Amino acid sequence: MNLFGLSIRCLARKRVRTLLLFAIVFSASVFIYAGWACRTASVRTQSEGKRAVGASFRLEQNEANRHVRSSEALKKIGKSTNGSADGTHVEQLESGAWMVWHDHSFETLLMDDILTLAGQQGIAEYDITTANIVVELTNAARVEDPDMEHDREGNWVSLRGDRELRLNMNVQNGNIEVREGRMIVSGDENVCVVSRELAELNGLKPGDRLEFGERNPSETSAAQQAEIVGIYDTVQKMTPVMYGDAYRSENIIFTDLRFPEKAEGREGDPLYEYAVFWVEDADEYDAVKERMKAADIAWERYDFLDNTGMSDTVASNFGDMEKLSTILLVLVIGAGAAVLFLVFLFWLGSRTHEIGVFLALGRSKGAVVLQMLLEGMLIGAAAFGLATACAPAVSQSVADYLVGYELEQEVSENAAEGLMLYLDEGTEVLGVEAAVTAEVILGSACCVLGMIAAAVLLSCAPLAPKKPREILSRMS
Amino acid sequence: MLELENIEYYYPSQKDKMILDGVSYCFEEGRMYAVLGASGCGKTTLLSLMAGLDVPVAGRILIDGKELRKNALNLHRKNDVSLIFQNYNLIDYLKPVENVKLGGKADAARLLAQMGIDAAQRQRNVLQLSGGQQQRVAIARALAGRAPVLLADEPTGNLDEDTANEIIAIFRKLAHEQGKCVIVVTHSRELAQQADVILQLRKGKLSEEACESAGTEDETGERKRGKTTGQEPDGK
Repeated sequence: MNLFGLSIRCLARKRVRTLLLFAIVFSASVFIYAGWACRTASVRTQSEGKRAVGASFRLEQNEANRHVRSSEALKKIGKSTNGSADGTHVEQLESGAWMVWHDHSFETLLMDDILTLAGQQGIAEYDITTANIVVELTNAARVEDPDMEHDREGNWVSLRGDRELRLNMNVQNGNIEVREGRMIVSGDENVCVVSRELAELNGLKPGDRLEFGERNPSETSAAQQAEIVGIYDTVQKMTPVMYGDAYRSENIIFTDLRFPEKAEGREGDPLYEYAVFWVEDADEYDAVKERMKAADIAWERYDFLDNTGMSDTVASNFGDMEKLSTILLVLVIGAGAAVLFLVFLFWLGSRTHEIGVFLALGRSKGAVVLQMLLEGMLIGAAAFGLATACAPAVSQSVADYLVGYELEQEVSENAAEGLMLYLDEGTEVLGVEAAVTAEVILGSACCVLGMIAAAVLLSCAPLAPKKPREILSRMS
Repeated sequence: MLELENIEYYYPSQKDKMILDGVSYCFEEGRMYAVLGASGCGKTTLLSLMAGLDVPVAGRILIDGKELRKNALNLHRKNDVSLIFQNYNLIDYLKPVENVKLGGKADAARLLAQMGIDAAQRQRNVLQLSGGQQQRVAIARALAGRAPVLLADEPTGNLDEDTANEIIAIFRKLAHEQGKCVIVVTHSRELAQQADVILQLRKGKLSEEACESAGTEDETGERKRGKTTGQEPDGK
């Protein structure tokens, strides 16, 4: 009778023992699945006012990753030290206080990543928009609120660079229309489109030139000029990103992509805030989305929003979820291994009689251990198969619980440092997607079967130095 | 067939107490031997050494003239000897037929039939058989491997007198008709009387006794005997 036949008969005819072991392995498998799945879970968020329009996707910086990168840079610089690392700068002020600031290289989307996504099959065209850059308008007056205090700022206006203005979200959603002149197109240099209000205030028309200077000019600062190529009208005023006339809708001037950095005296150091990618065939939207998500870029830096405003943010960016799921995984593996070891030890103890008989019949110890291992693996495979069927539901429940826990930490006033959620204002957590992927199945299978193998081998270890006679005498 | 040469044995925890002290003997095929001795005198130890379940402290065990090697004891247990125990030691989750198949590739059903286990009993769980039937299954398992030496440790210890006699009759038949070397360890003199050769284990020494009632005679009319080697038989 071969080992397999013997193992099957043992498992089938020792039903209570088999079921007990099956239940234990099944429970451990399900929790290991949950731990793995949570580590790679996607937290679905929706941001008010931040979504792609139509058949497009929007790429922007991920706040959690920004925080992580900042912390890492500060560690590199060292405590109470002036210095710079990875676009993060630490400087001690005259007052003795420390100031931390980030330059554009830290804040910007990476052009290489944008181009990689733009080059994916199914993407027809794309736009890049810079952050709101405040500069001094030197040859025209800005629109001002007469009731507002202006002593502390100059004639500041906002510049927003676009690669292709017709693809700008405000144009696409119909809030902005260029009725006079033309849009800014890719390849334009030193051009701008101004608001109707600003044009009327200063008597500007397409072909005129506006001159801009740095907000805080130095001796080496040089003024930059941009030609007005169009004048836009708005349906609704654009929401200012900050308080002050510099940010008011009428003072937002759209420029070509590279002009804002020149105007603020930082040519070659752009600050791209978001990029939008338009799908060639709307019917292929989901397929293109999957292709883009498979692109080899630094995804941990980004949020990737679709046209519903959904953002798949990896768990590692979602506060401490990765840490919690790792703890869960380690605890389950540790506890599971300990329980399995004890169960196998007990199991083996009850089978000393049988082992002694097998040895007396001329079987080697290796063959006996192999049979125990085979039985363990057969139970493990069956339990793991059932766990695989249950894994999606259980993993989802555990992931939901962990996200709920994270959110509770967020609202708690005294949340411990490190348990914060780095979500933008207005961002709503819709749920978690703890997908059971091939990677999760493989990882869980290795854990479960590895645990069983380790438990069997450890349980059998005391038999190794014993003579068959000692084992036989133990049984009697 | 099976030869012991100056076998010494003591327990690691009691090195000053020799269990076997220079035991030498040559067991021959076609005979049934009974090893008698008081409890704790080392009968089971001697059997374990012959079965390759343990190794002697000193001395050699030879099977057909070849010395047993420590790293091949499982092959010795598989090919050269078969063990039969007092408590049968059947695998409780296997049927009688399956238990016999563990012993070797011989026709399990035929062996069981030879041992008086009918078809219905062969399909039952072994624990549902009587003690005598379980011992018969154990003997069938021992025979399945076709090993030339059968070692039995108190094989009738758990059986009633009639059944014990039946089992002993089987052993005698195996020795005399199938040419097996049957070595039975027992403390029952009555059972030992059925053997061709009675060996007494006393104070670590093995010696041969005269058989009075049982045994067979060879062609010359002399009672078959084993022979001690390397020492004078005690009491002869």
